Amino acid sequence: MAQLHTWCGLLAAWLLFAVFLTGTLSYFKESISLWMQPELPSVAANAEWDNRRLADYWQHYLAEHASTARNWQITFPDERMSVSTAVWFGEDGSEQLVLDPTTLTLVTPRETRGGDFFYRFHFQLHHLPAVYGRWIIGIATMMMFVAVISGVITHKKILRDFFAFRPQKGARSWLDAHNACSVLTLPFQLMITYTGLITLMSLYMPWGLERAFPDADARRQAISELHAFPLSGPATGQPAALHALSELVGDAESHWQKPVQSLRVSHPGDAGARVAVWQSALEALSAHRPQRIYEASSGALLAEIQSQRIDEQAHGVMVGLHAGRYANWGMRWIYFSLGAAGCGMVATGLLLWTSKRKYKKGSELGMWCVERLNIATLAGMPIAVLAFLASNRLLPVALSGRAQWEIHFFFVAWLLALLHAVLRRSASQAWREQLTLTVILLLCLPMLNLLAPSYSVLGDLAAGNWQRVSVDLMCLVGALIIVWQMKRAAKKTLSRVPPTQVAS
Amino acid sequence: MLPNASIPHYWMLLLRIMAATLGGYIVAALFSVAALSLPLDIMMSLRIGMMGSFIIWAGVATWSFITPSLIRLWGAIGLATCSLLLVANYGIH
Amino acid sequence: MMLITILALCTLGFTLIALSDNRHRRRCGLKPAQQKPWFWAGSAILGWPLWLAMETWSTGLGITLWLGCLSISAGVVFLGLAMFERLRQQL
Repeated sequence: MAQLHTWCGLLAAWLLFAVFLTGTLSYFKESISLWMQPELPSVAANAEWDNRRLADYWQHYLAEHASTARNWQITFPDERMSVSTAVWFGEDGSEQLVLDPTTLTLVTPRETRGGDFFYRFHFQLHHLPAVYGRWIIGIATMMMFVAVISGVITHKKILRDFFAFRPQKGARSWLDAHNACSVLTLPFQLMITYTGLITLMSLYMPWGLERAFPDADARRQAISELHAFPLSGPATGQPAALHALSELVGDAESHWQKPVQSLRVSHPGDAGARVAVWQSALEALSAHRPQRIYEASSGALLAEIQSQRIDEQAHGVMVGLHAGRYANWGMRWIYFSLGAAGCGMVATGLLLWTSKRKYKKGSELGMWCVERLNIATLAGMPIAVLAFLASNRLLPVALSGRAQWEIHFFFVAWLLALLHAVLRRSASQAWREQLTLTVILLLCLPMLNLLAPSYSVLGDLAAGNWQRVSVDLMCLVGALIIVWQMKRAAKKTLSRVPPTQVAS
Repeated sequence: MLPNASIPHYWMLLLRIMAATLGGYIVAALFSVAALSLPLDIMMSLRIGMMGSFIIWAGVATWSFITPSLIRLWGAIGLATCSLLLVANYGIH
Repeated sequence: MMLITILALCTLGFTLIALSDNRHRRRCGLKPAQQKPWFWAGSAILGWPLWLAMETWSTGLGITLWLGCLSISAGVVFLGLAMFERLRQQL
C-alpha cells in the first residue's frame, strides 16, 4: 500500500511538477501578461470607466474593420486586466486589439502569449494536439489523486501528528519537508486534483453524454448546457443592423448590479446575430457565471442563464474553485502559496525517494535516470520559465512571430537543461550549476524590466498598480530562497565530510 | 496475496495494475452511463455520473493494492461490470 | 484588510490549540496546564473568522476564504513552532 503511494507518485511526479509550476503561475497570469507587455498603460488602481462607452467604441471600430467576422469577443477591464480587449474571428483570419479604457485609445503592445502560455500548458501542454495533451495530464492527475488518497490511508499516524502540530524528526529531512508540504495543505491538494479532473470531465468520461445524446448536434447542445457556454446559433444570411451594444451592457449591469465581464457577438450584421453578455467573475464562486442572451438586431432579451439547481451549482463551484477566477488579490496569494506548497510536495517527494535509495542496491541505470530527470525538471523547468520571460525582453519588439519564438526559448532552455543534467558527470555539480543559473536569471529579470524603454516602475507605482512590480519582487524572493537553500545544503555536505578530508 | 508459488510475483503485480487502471476505468465509465437511469433530470444524472466516476475509479485503484486476494479483486470488478452493464442497457429509457 | 484579520485570527486560534498539547508546552519551555480550556479557546477563535468571512462576503465565498486561510495559518503555526523550538535549543 505504501508502495502504491510511492510508485504512483514517482511515475507521475516530473509531469506533475511541470503542471503545478505552470498552474501556480497561472493564478497571476494577467500580471505576467502585463509584465510581458510593458507598452500597456498603467491604468490607475482606482481608475473608473464606463463599460457602455467601451462597448460603444468597440462597436464602431469593429463594424468598420471586422464587419465580415464570424464573431466578436469583447472583454471589459477588471481588477486584474486593466485594459479592454477585443478579438474577432473571420475568414480573413483573426485579430486581437487592446484599448486603454481611460483614454479610449488603441494600444499596440508587443506580440506575446504572456501568462496565457503557462495557463494552457498546465492542462494541455504544447506542440501536441490539445486532446492528447489533456489526456496525458488527465492520467497524471488521476495518478496524483490515487497517490494522495493512498498517502492518507497509509500514513494515518502522520496525519494525526500534524493535526497536533508535531513535526516528525525536527524538520531536517526531505521526509519532514514532504510531510509538511503535503499534510498541511491536504484539503487544497485534494480539492485541486479532483476539481482539475472535473473541469475536463466531458473529455475523460464522455460515455454518459454519448449514450444520452447519440446525435452529434444534440450532444453539442448538451455539452454547451453542461458547461453553461451558449452556442452561437446559425446565421440566417440576411443582413440586419446591430443594436447598440452599449444599451445591452447597460441593461445587463443595471439588472445584475454587477459589472459585465465580457460579451460575444455571433454573426454580427446578420439577422440571426446574438449577443451573449457574461457577468463579472469577481467574488462569484461558481465558474458558470450568469449570462444574458440578446437578439442582436432588436436588443430583445432571449434568455437569462443562471445556475439554479444544486447540480449546476455544484459543478460550477467545483470548476470555479479550481480556476479561482472569483478570487480577489488576497485570496489569489493564498492560492499561489498553496500551489507553491504543491510544487514543494512533488519536489520533496522526488528528492526523498532519491535520497532514500541512493546508496542501496538496485538498478543503477534507473537511479541515474531518476536523479538526472530530477535535475532537469526541478531546476530545469524553472529555468525554462525564466528563459521564456527573459526572451520577452531580449527579442526585438518588431520581430514577426515573436510569440512563437518566446515559446521556442522555453522549450530550448528546458532541452538544454536536460542535456546538461544528462551529460554532466557529477549530479551534485549539475544541481549547483542549474540552481546558480536559476538564481542569475531570477536576478536578471527585474533588471531587464527596469531597462525596458517603454516601461516605468515609478509610473506603475504612482498609479497604484503593483502587478508588474510584484513579478519583479517575486523574482528577488525566489532568488533569496534558492540561495538560502543552497547554502544550507552546502553546510550539510561539509558537516558530513570527515575533518581529515577537508584539510587536504 | 494468494500463496500460489507457481505464479511469479510480477504477474500478480501486473494483474493489480490492470485492475487499477483498466478495470477501474471500465467500472467508472459504466457507472457514468448507468447513472442515467436515475429518476432525475438528465443533466443532473450526467453530472452525478461523471463526477462520481472519478471517485469510483480512485476507489477501485486504491482497493486494487489493498486487498489481499486477487480473485476477490477481479471477481468484484467483474460483478460490478456485469451489474452496471445490466443497468446501462435495461435501466435507461 | 479583512483577509489579514481573518488570517491573524486563524493563526491565533491554531497557536492556542497547539499550546493545548502538553508536549508542545514542554518543548516551548512552558509549564504543563489544563489541555481542554486552551483547545476550546483556540477552536472558538477559529470559528470567529468564519463568521467574519461570511458577513463580509457571501456564504459560499466566506467559507472558501476561511478554509484557505485555515490552510495557510496552519502552515504558519507549524513552521513557527518548529523554528521557535530550534531557536530555543540554540540559545
